[in-house]
Amino acid sequence: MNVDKKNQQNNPISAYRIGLTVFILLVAFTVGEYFIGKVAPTWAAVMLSIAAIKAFFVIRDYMHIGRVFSPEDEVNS
Amino acid sequence: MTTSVVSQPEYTRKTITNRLGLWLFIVSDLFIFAGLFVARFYLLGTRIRPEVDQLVGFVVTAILLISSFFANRGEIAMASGDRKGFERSFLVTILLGILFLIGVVGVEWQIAPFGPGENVAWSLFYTMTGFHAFHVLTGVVFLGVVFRNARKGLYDAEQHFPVEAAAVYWHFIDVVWIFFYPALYLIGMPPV
Repeated sequence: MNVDKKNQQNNPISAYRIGLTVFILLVAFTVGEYFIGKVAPTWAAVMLSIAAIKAFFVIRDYMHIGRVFSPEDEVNS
Repeated sequence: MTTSVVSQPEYTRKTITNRLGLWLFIVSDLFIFAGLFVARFYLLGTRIRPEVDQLVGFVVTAILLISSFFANRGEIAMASGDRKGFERSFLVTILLGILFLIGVVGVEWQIAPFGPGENVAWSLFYTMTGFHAFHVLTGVVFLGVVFRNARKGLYDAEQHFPVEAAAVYWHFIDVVWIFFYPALYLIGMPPV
């Protein structure tokens, strides 16, 4: 699902779709987290694991961490 | 009007360096947030949390997630040459950032039944949310500057690293809150 800048330029529809998919995942995880916090507030490991999954998607697909490690792909950046 | 004065190969080379600098800054900033995060669990453990309104926490979290979604849309729009789309998305991001600040500082801080000077544990709540809110404020300013420069035509589909940097910084603020939200609002029970 990782998108580099070249893909954003060449295929913005795909990039928008990935952004929306990540957003829906974040909302679903956040709602789940909220209800776990209501019914089982001592399940720290579960809630922090959900937070880690959310952070993974944001860092990979919104912050595009891959660009830092593969700058040679970015001819048109 | 576009004012590209740097050749594309030169811009690409600079962007690679700038991007590395941006991420080094983010990682160094992350250590401060990580220290606060660890301090929260050291002082309160996993059975106690500050007596805060969970619904307010959920609402401000939702606002920040939506703002991140629009920041991402704005970056994609600029990369694909859709200037109007960029302006719309970044404007929404800025407004949601301001709404987040109002939610935390203007609402949560006012209704919290404890003050920052009550004890060390509760003061940590204000430190964590305050330090994060300050980053949100600087993020809003950063987004505003980039938004204004984009309206002046300083960026285009090929050369727009400041747009990327503003969006990445905004998502970083979001990532920090992704961990602060359960730590402050969900894990543990308020003391009886």
